Amino acid sequence: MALTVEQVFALAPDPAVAQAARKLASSRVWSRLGSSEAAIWGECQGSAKYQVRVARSDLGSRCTCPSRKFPCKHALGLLLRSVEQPIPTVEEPEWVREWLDKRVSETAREKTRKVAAPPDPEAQARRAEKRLERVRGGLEILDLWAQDLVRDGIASLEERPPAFFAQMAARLVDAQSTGLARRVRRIGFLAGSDPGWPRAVLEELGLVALASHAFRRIDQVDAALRADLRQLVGFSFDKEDVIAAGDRIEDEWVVVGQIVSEDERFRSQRSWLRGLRSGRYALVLQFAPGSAPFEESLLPGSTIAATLAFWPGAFPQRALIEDRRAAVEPVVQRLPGFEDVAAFLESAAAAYARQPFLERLCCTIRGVMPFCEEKHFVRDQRGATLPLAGFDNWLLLAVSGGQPVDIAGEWNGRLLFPLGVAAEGTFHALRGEE
Amino acid sequence: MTDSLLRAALLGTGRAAPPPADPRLESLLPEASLTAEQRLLLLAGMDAVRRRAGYRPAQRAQPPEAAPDETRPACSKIAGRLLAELLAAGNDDLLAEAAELLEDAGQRLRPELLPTALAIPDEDLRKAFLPVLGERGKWLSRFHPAWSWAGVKEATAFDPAEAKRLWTEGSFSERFSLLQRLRVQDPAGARDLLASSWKEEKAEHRAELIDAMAEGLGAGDETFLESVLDDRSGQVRASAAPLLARIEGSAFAARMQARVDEMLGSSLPFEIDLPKDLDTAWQRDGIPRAPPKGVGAKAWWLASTLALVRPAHLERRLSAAPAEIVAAAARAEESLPLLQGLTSATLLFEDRRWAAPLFDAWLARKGDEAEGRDAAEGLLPAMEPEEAEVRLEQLFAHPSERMVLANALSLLRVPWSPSFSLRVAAAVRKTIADPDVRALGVAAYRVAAQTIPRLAAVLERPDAEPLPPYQERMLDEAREVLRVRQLLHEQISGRSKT
Repeated sequence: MALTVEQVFALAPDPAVAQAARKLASSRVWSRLGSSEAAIWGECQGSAKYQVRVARSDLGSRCTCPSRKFPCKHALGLLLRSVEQPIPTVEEPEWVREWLDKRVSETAREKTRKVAAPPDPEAQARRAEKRLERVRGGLEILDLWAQDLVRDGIASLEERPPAFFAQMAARLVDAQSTGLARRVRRIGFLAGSDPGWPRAVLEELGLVALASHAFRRIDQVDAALRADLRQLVGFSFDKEDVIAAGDRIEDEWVVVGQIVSEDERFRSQRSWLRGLRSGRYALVLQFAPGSAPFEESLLPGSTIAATLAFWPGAFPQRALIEDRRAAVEPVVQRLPGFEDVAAFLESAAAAYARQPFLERLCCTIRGVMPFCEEKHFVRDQRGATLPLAGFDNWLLLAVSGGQPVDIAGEWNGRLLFPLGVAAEGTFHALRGEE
Repeated sequence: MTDSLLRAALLGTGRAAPPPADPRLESLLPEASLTAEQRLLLLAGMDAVRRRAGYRPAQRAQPPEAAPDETRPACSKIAGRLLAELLAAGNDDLLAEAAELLEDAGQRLRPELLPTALAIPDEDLRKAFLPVLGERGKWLSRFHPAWSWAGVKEATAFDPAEAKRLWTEGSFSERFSLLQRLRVQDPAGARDLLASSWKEEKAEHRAELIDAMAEGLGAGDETFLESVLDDRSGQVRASAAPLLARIEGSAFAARMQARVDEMLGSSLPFEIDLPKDLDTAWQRDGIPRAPPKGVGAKAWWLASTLALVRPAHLERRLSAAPAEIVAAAARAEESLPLLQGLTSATLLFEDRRWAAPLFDAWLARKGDEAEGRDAAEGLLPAMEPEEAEVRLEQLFAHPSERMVLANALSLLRVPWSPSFSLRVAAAVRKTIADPDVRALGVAAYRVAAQTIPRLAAVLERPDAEPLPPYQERMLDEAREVLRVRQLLHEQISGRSKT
């Protein structure tokens, strides 16, 4: 496991833990340090003596300290220490082996857990019919609202308070159409945001109208697109159903980019993976309350060997990690991806043709040169350019030095939001949008 | 086509009928009857998909210019991580030390640190980081106007026409900085420039512009400065006076010496004879007639005159050493203005031999708290370092109301010598049961690198009672500073590169 300092810090639940871990890593509080194929462990003398252990397979950790942060500063400190200086390989002590054994059996148990009793099919059908009715009602209201907007002219949207959009979104939530509610709220953020906003707002309104139109004729579309439309409106698929029925791909997946966003109560994480053999992109969404850990530890820039199960759809993106086998692999020196802009755009065109409502696509292109001419761009070896947006384009330019780099990001059909770059053999995570 | 759609949507279908659409899109619309609004929205949706799917990238024929090759190795990843932390926290003291270490080790910043390093606002810190930005940093700075400080150096030679233009058209601060820079290269030329527009300058500007003459001051400036003494503004005269005093052998210096000789007599103890009133000749020489509130006029004249006389003159005149003269001044009737005048003169003429005895006299003095503190803080950095160090050590054992230890420590010039750092660590150990945590906070930043572990060990306080929480917190901060410094030194100077 060749982790980098950056990757270890990326695991930190907040900067305070990162700083505390750094202090611990270099201090003399450690004793009985050891490592094996499966784990790293040690005892840390804090206000009491804590037993700290970290599994190499997925960097899961367990510490006897009372912290509610995860991973705690001790686990992170231990990992950091293992990156900075070698930890001797010795036999696993009892308290480490027991923990490792327990982890394996727990994972196995989770896999075999079955749904309790099959619900009453009739009651289920009644509920489904009732929900559909509500959704149709919500679409009706949305339709009239959008028509009003274009009748009055969207130029005035700039002056509308966010509440104007939030109200419509709330009615859609009431109508159990949370997916559409989110898109309506987003239109509110777009209005007035930059000089090109009218076009962006009109496009979004148009796509929502198209989706609502299509949903009302859902019986006429094929099964895959039907699944997309249902998800777009707000019908969720249970993980169990995904595992049971979803497409499976076994591959080595590179975590090419990640975005974590927080609100008051919970954090959500969007990770983009690309399969080394399949060339497929996968989007893994995870949610966690407060500072609790995400279930799957996915380090940007690392590779995992796993089987992913994909949500159904005409252009499946969202996936869950069904089975993760090998240890975390060395950090990538180059990113897998398209060889030039044209190849990416061709694949993007094919994706939109199959699933026209895609909000974003993952885009990895190899050997592009970032440059800045008032705004930021990348240029491929053949001279084609893509405009960049997002937070870290100066960082991207700095690590590239104008040399070809491999870039990963999210493409929204107009702009690329970089999430990661591999330059001079080193991967750097970049903050995308939001 | 799409632009007409957008125009229709912006304006509103209620005002104008939507235009006919692209027949290829039109043919995709459902058969069912649609309102004009529904039709426009569906067309806009289809058009959005078409745009996304049909995105055409802009072409750029020339590849962008790459950064030149680096000439120095990058710092280690761990050093980089530490620097990122310091840059994020804006810890200027540690950043300055880190920059110096990098420069001494011949290393440069890792590229990922450059955007934050280039955004450093502090001028001094920028200077420290300039040599360690590497080729990449200089290259990167070209693309961001606010980073131009890191770019190509300003031309060193002045174009006289350009200087003249800036002098006549520039803002006041531009003109002031032009004058300052010009004084370094061509003091006479700069003086001529100032003289050329002297009569047109506003009074408040005149006083400030004169200050710029301190750079490159020499005998050639006497005539001009002497003429400035005829200025109507007392402020302008008071700015010119210290400059004239510093010109060795100037007529002004002789006049001031004569006045002091008359007031103080020719031997110790002083026989003080102060003028009854201030004649216009004194006022012309920048001695203000009216004292500040709460100060006696005669005492004020004495202090102001003494401040402009080279202290060495008194040694010759009174045939006595600085310590004897200071002791006599402290005992004299007019001791406060005497000590104040001598202190100002010591600082103006940078006479190190006088700083220590004056410092001691102020510390021993009863009363005059504010004056004493200002004077002591001014004198401390003006002393020979060894003399200052001895006095600071005493402060550890015997705290003084007048000279707060933490302030005193921060006034001492950096870097501290290893021997002084060791003595500080020893002094701290003696007082560790009841430590001066503010002083420790200052010491943590300043002890010599090789003595960091020693001070860190002392600050662990293994056997001492816990302190009140806020003191423990400050102590923790001091420990953290030492830890970070230790890591910086190990990571940057210890190993050359990972």
